[in-house]
Amino acid sequence: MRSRYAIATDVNDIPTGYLFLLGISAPQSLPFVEAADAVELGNGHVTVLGVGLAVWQWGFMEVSERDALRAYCPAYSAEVFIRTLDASNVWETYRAIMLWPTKGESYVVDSTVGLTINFKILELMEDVS
Amino acid sequence: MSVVREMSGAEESNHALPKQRSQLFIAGLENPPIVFAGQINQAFTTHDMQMQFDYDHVTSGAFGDVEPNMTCWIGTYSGGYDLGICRAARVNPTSTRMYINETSEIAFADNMFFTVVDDFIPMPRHAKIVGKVIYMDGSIVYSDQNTNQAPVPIMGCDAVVDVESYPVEVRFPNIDQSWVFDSTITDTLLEATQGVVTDETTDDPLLTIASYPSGGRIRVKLTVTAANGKSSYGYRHVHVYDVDHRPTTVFNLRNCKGDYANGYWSCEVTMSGNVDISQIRDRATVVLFAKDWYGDTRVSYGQLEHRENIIFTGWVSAESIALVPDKSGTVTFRVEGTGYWMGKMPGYPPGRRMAKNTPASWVDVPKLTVAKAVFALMHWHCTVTTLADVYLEDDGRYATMFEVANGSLWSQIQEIAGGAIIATPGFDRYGRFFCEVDPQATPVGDRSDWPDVTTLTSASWQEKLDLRRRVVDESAQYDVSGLHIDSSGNASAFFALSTGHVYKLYGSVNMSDRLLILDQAHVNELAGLMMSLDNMEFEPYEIHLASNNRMFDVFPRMGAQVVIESDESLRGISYSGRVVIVGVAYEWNANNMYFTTVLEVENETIPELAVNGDIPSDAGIDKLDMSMPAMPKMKFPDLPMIYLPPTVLNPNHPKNVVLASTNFGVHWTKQFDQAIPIFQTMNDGLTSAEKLSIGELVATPSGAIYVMCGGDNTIGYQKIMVADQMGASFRTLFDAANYPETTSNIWGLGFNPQQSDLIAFWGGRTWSWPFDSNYGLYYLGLGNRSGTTLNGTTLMPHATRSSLVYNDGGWTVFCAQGTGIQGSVASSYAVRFTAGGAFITGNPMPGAGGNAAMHSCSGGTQDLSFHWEHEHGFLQKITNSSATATAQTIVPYGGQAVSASPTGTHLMGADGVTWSAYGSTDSGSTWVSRGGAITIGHSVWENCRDDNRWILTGGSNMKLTLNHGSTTIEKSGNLIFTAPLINIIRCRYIS
Repeated sequence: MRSRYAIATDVNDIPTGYLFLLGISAPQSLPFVEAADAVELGNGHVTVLGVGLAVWQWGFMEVSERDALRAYCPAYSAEVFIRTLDASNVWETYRAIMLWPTKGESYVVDSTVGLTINFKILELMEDVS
Repeated sequence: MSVVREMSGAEESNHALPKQRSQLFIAGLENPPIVFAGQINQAFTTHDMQMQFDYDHVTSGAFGDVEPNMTCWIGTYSGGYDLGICRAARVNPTSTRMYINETSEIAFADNMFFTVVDDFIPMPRHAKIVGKVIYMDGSIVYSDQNTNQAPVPIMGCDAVVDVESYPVEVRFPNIDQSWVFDSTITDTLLEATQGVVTDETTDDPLLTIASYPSGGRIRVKLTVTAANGKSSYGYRHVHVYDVDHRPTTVFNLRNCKGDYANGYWSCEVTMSGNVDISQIRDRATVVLFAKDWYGDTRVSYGQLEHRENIIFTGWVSAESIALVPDKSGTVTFRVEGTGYWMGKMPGYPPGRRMAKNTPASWVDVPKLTVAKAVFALMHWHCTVTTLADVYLEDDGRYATMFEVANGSLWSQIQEIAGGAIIATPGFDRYGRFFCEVDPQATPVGDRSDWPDVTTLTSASWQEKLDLRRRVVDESAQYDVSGLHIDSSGNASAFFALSTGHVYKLYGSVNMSDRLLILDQAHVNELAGLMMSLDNMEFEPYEIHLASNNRMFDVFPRMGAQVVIESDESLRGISYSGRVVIVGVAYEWNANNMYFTTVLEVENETIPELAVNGDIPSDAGIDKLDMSMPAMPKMKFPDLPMIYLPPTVLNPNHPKNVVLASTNFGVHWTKQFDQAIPIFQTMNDGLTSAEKLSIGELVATPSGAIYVMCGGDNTIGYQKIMVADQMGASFRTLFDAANYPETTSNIWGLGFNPQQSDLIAFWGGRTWSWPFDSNYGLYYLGLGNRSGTTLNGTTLMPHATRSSLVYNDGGWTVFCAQGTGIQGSVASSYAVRFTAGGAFITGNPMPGAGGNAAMHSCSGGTQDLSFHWEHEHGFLQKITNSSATATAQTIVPYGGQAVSASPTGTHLMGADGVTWSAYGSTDSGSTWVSRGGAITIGHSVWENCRDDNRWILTGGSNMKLTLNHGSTTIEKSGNLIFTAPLINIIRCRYIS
């Protein structure tokens, strides 16, 4: 099965925003964080609060792929729509703030190494795939 | 009617969901759109008290676009406000002239720039007093504003929309909550500067915005009209953002909380490089708003319908800037709610009293209540009703008068509301104003008026509750008293004790008085409630909710049900009941972007036991006693009289002045040198009867103030009372009952200006032979604030209002002595005593005798004084050890109708027949009319210890002359406002 990771600037463009269609290899998906903080309640239960976090990471990525991805986030952050696996291993579409690394990238010849992209403030969208 | 609602079941469910998060933004920081701008076209001779300016070179807008109270910047460059900020006045501008609030803080100059911007900020509307006329906001004269009250527009707070696709709709619900005292709202009209308003005259108008508006801001104006013919206006803004026009993202938000005692919300915002720091204007509007998610549902909750995304509205008050070399620093600024700004507004003492007839002045209000007094401050003394919803409601508790000291407008409102009905005024986070009786002081039967927002359990809060249990009572007894006043102003006093006459085992004894109450049962319940609040089992505690719950606020009053199970604590403490909200904070986690809510609560109390209180024998002392401890008796040598040479004009206005009136008792001011002196009353310690029966008032150089009171000129007076300083309470220094002979009275009071603190008073038993074989026996009493002694006696004194002066090293008493057969004729006399009170001699004076009131003034240190009798004959110049009297050309009336300078060469006074002013520069030998410079009607003349300065007063007049009457300066100050129709009979210069 092909990877369903997708990115677009408009939610309606998700069907054409699959990474493989954009010439970007599939990332390694790190654990999907539903909410940033866990809070213990007075009755001993726990709830979670705060923004969710999806993390895409590439161990090795050609510059052309990197540039294709960078187009969605020319500055350090941008509002995008992504399709990614959630904590239940289900593909979902989210509106998110895409955060480009602020401390630079590592390059080896024509490739970037260890690129990690965080997607914050995830807002679940209707399925448009 | 409460505007608070309970949370629905769906809302409670959403608040229990995980993954709650928010995005936080700021609206309003952008420079507001320019409405009208140009250049000043006028030369100014002074910056003082400006209310208008001519203009030309209009660069933007039209004068017809200016709305009252819009912010107006004055600057040295176009669009600048470096010279100051004022506001457009209620008077519409013309094609050449702009009207503004009266101001003295802007250095107006020709060709400076003015910019009227689409912005409204809380500002005072100072009263202007010209002569005896009060102009509200500088120009509004009283007509019928207290009879036909202005309506109050209710339209919510500013709205913010972050548009994903146009068109977008903005609703303005609850217009029907607009209100007016003693009338009804008949018409409402909502208008907007951009977009399309539909249902504009209904209770729920709709603004439809089809595209991004010019300037990103739409001004909405609500006009409400009442059946009494009055109209008012409210203004709000709709801030619009969309994908191309993004709001400022908050970097961090701290200390976002509402404080019940302070009465308003505030917060700190830290912004970093993604913001144009220069945006942050002084007093810039700040509207914090959020997008919220509960689970995966994006929705916001709040108590104000259709404004649920609003966190807080306020204005920038202070700023701290962290400068770093790479310019990546941050700016932190405080944002304060409306109450803070009102706390910065200086307020005149805003006296209000119940009108007994059709009001003719700003101070007279029919059926006066706390709500009406507070409304006057909110509407007429500042701009708040135009920019915020103001909710007030009469509760049927009438007041005869509200009299508060000068202070901030906010402190005055707090004093009126808190002192009379135990209400706490405050603004909620939307900027809506409420003034409601404290929840814990509300009778239990009335507590259904406000709802419980939700039920909180251990599933609602984080980790734990920290409870501090009180095991020793704080209060042992509460002594509560108050008045019930009907709509005609008739008062009944009620007293209560909680829990009863016997103290509890532990705690302090507390008192609360001067409350407005309904009846005996009410004051009993209040006493029990105060007792209960002080002794409540658990001190106020915090509940840290595990949710973004913005349904809670500190205002208006609201509660919650709290359930603590006994098995949730080691001590087995349980509670299931209502709590009242006394503090709310929204804690923002900036890193992970979520809010949690912290509530400060008190468990609801019910009244402890109470009984009817005891009616005191003397209810005269009704305030904190500020008296200084009594000073030991001291004897000082006579002080040298120090004064400027007669030819030198002293340009300094007196500062400390005290006065007495027949209808308001004693007033004092330390600001007589100001253009509008602020007088305050100092009647504490005087009963109502004593306050209204002051026959003489003197002030010694030490600052102690003495009054002779408790009677009149025909029956004599009962007491000499002293206050240690201006503003202090009076206490009895000598009571006529202390004379050795019964039926004695006090007839005169004077002081020695050369001693720090020495008075003399004259009185005793008057001649009454042959009815009871009494030939009279009088005493010259001497004293200071520590006590009195009675000295020498004379024969056959008669019942006559007497006067005393100190001159030529001794005392002269002008009184009536018995002459003729067995002393049966009351003749005018001057009786001399030594400084120590020993009798020297008595000399007959020209005069009508009988029982005419005798008045006098000293002619300085030498052998000179002046004597006159009320409505009888000419002024007499007294010399030769009070043996020689020389008639002068004027006929003064009243107790202070003439006064002399310390040299005795200069005098001023009024002729009692014509009430014209006269002056003399030759020790009274010749008198020159001052009628050209001084209007008639000044019956009280007080010399200010030199040859040129006099205070001329009497009735409700109050003026100062610095040049022996050549010109005068109006000094009525706030008396016209706080003590209308005051009848001043004495005035004393202190320093």
